[in-house]
Amino acid sequence: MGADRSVRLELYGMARYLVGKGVLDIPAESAATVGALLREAVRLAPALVGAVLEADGTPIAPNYILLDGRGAVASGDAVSDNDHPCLLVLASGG
Amino acid sequence: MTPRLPRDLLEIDLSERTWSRSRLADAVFDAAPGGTALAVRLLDERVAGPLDPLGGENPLCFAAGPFAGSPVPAATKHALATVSPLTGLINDTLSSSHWSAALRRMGLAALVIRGRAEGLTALVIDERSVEFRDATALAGTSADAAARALRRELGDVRARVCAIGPAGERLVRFSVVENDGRQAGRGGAGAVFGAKALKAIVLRGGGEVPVADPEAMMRLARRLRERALGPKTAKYRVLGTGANMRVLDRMGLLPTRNFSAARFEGTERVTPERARESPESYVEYRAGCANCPVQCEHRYVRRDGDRRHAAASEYESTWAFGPNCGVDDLDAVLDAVDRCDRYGLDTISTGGVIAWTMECVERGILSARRVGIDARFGDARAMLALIDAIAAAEGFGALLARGVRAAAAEVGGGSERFAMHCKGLEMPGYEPRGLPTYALGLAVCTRGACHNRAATYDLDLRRPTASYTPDERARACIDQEDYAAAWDTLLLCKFVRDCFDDFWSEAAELLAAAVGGTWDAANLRAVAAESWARKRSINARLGWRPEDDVLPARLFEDALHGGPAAGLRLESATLEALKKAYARGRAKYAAAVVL
Ligand code: SF4
Repeated sequence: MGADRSVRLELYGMARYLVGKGVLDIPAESAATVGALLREAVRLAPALVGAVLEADGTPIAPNYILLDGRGAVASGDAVSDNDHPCLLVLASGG
Repeated sequence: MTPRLPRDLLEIDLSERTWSRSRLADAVFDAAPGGTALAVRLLDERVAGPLDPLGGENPLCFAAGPFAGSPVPAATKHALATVSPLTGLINDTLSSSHWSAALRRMGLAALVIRGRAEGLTALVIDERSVEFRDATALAGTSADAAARALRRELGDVRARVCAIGPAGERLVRFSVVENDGRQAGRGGAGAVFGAKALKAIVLRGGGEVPVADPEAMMRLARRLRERALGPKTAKYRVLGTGANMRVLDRMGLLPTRNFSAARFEGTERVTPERARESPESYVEYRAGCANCPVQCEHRYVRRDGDRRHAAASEYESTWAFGPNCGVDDLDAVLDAVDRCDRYGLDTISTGGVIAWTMECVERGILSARRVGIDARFGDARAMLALIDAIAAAEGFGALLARGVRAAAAEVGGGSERFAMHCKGLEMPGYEPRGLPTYALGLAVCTRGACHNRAATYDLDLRRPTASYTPDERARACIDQEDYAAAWDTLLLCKFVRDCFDDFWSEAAELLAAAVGGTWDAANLRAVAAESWARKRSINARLGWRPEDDVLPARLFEDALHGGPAAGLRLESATLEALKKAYARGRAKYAAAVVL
């Protein structure tokens, strides 16, 4: 990934509400892994802390992160050019 | 500690116009402390074999939640168990609020109603008597209007009323029972009321609800209330379940046009989030159940509209009339939800039968002449007209009022392939082809295609690409079923499920504080497992067979196209393997139930 490129983090549910928009563009050099990407998300959008992400970028249940809406990932997994990380939360089960 | 929980059972016979009140034994409460476990137990004791769900012999078994009327938040609820006119099997359903608390304030743990009244009747119940009141003047009214009229007639603004709307009176098999703006929704309990000529049940009077350990109760209830106001429920408080639409669309798991696709191009136009994000166009009203700090219901109406028609924007309802009918007009979807509430119709089933009609019209299986309107996907006007026809049980609406399974059986011509149901209950809004554990949960669920008796989609949604063995998926399904049975027995709202660190032991502590006795995680688990086993046992007596645990053919034959879940479909061999693993996991109940 080049230095001038970015990874687009899609936001849904509470994440979108708190940030006030549907995407966060994260500089690619700060998004080598899922963990790094989410730490950078915290830096760019501190409103996420407490409700969606911990201060270290860990998703707070019931929020979770998937690649392209389906791929389950762990913090250490690499993020590549073609990934579309999505920060999601589902509200269901009443 | 001696249990002090209200523990009387009131039994009413509408045919004989008689009633009796008796005390339920300690042994009953040890095995079924309230809610679904108690309602199911009472049904179990009264269903000997197959019966006509719309006959007088079908009992309506209500049971209050053990925390109803107590300080425990998000827990003032009751359960209702009966035989569903849609499935012919058990229907255990839930509702909330003041009516639930009123049951316990009158010292009642449960209420059973049998028989059939001669004319439309309202039962007016207080601590000493039951009045069989003529309700013919209320015929055709909404549940809400009936409740207001009864309070006026009785001169009692504090009377608590549950009632049916016109759809229940016309025996629409997916009509609901409503109280305080909340509904016992799925499975057609409203039609069971209607068949009994029972319009409403009014509860009057009553005192305080005693609790066994007031100090512990206050401490534990306060802790839960604080947590319920924190980040764990923010998604419900701030957004409501309507926010699921964008999420499921992004995952490629949003059932669209009667499950013929799993992404909807109109999602951005019809998601309820659009109303919240457009305050210049819509007014939002918050609502919810009694004694709940979450108030998760987000109602919307156009700024220039009538606020009395502000419609609830829950995911399942807006999905049923939006993506599933191919309608991308948010105002029409909110109108559809509002009409269902006024008529007393279950939104998921109503959307399901309309989506099936639209697909049959598009495929030439049904003609516009037969339907009465050229109902095609995306046609909001046709959708609203069909809702009116179903509620009135008129024209083609009379056929749809019997549910999608019965309608497809009558129409034939291959329409059965597009009837999206399990055991007669129309499918909810999650695409099973991308969710194999959820598919198992739907197939084996005792009430048909219900997503709330086991949140088996959780495993699939959070780790969709993980591979699990059949035994692991079956274990997850069983655990989720028992977990849900515990919540439905305690009648805690599942929307506060993330507010517990260790649900089983914390819930047992709450239960002991409320009702007394010795409760721990182990005996609470036993109550949940027995509740499930009784449901399965009732179904076996009602004629359920293992081969009824099937899902619609299109889920196996048509792969999803487009989106992240493209190419996925269910495999028969996989589902069969999961069902076998499930039966092994449930084997300890083999003596009691057919697996
Ligand atoms: S969270 Fe919503 S559904 Fe649950 S008890 Fe509260 S208001 Fe009712």
